[in-house]
Amino acid sequence: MKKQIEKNIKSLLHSIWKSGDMAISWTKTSIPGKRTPFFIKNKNQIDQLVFDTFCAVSLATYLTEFNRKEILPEDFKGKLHITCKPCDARSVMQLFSDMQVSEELVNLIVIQCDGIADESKLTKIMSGYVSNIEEENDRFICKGIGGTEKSVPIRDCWLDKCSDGKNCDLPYYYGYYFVGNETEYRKRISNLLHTKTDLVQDTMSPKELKKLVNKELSSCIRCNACRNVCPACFCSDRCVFEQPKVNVKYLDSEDASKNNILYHMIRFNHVAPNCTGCGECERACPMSIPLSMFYKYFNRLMWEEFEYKPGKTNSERQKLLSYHLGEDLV
Amino acid sequence: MASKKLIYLFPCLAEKRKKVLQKIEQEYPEIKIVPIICAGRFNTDIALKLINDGADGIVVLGCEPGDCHYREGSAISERRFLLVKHTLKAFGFEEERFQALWHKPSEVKGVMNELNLFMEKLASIEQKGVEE
Repeated sequence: MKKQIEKNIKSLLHSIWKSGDMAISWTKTSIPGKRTPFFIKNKNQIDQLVFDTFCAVSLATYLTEFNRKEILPEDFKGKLHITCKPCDARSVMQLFSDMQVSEELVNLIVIQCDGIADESKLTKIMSGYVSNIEEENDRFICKGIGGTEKSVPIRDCWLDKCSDGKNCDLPYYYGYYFVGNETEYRKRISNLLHTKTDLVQDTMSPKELKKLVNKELSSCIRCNACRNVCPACFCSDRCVFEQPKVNVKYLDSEDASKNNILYHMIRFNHVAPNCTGCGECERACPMSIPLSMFYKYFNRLMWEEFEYKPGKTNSERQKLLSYHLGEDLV
Repeated sequence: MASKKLIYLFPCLAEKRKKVLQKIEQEYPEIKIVPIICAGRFNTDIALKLINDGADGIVVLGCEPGDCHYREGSAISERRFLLVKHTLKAFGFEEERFQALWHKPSEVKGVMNELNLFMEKLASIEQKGVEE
């Protein structure tokens, strides 16, 4: 089934490819279970692309760079094909509605996805380096060091967002290609979408919560990985944290947890209205800080206060930038 | 004994607001007044920074939405302030520490009443912290 989907993506790209186009997709690396972003510039490179259970990287982030023409040749006139899982497609949709990327230049290819596995979780289960991974039905068959073999259910290595299932819905958009069986996919996710999320903020008192936040964020090294990988954080070179001429100096270079809290507070405060909950910040974090406890709170807030779900359409403006006199506040 | 509090007040600079500010200066000398152009201009990152650095409370004093000199200035900020409150809550600060007051520039009594309530709230937060 998954090989068939990969074949279909390739044949689709072959059929719509025109000279001068570009595509962003995934490809294999030398490490088993790691997939890396891949820029296809020629038609004969299409066959190198890979789609399987390990394609965790969201490619929507590259579109923000595409906006600044960093990754494109200057005389680019073709279309940019981008392969997405449904959750990433919503990030792309949010970039459309924030007017960061022009819709005419991007061609969206949404791929049916049955949960994405996290390679780091697999290595944790195998307790060490994995030399070979093979997929069979719902299980991985992994070979570890010294020839030990283990079969692990795929569900155990899923990314956190996949078991939650809140971001799996498809956007309301007419212009995407869907690879896979769309009706079957919609049926599968329809039960998942209306689950309730339990958050620490509901049960804990401020003092307890502050202790927890302090503990979690004290390991932050402020490497900016969460900022750089976030598709909603698109003002990279004009970021508040990197303004040389800004009047207020927000952060000290000192690595105290107090500064770390402020860093994440300001970042989430900025990103909240257009965070689709893709979970890339948590995946990219080298210190594995559970940032989902924060963005889930803001996702729920946007829905409860404004009935607004980021990434649902390509035209609805985010609620903190659009206001017309006479409109209902809050 | 009441310890000295660190409270910032950001009033918008409407012409008739001088009277209220004088009254506040008399009654609450501990409040630091930092005038801004409009409540819509208030940079919410500053509120987060101040509270994170140990300020007890922050008050933004603006005109009622629809009454603003810059038309939708205070209306936009109302949504932004809601987000600030929830950011504080998500990270384990008391959301009551941040408060926006919406009053006509010439009003004095209403502002003083709400400020009184705000100070009482801060005191109760502090007491809770001591009890725990």
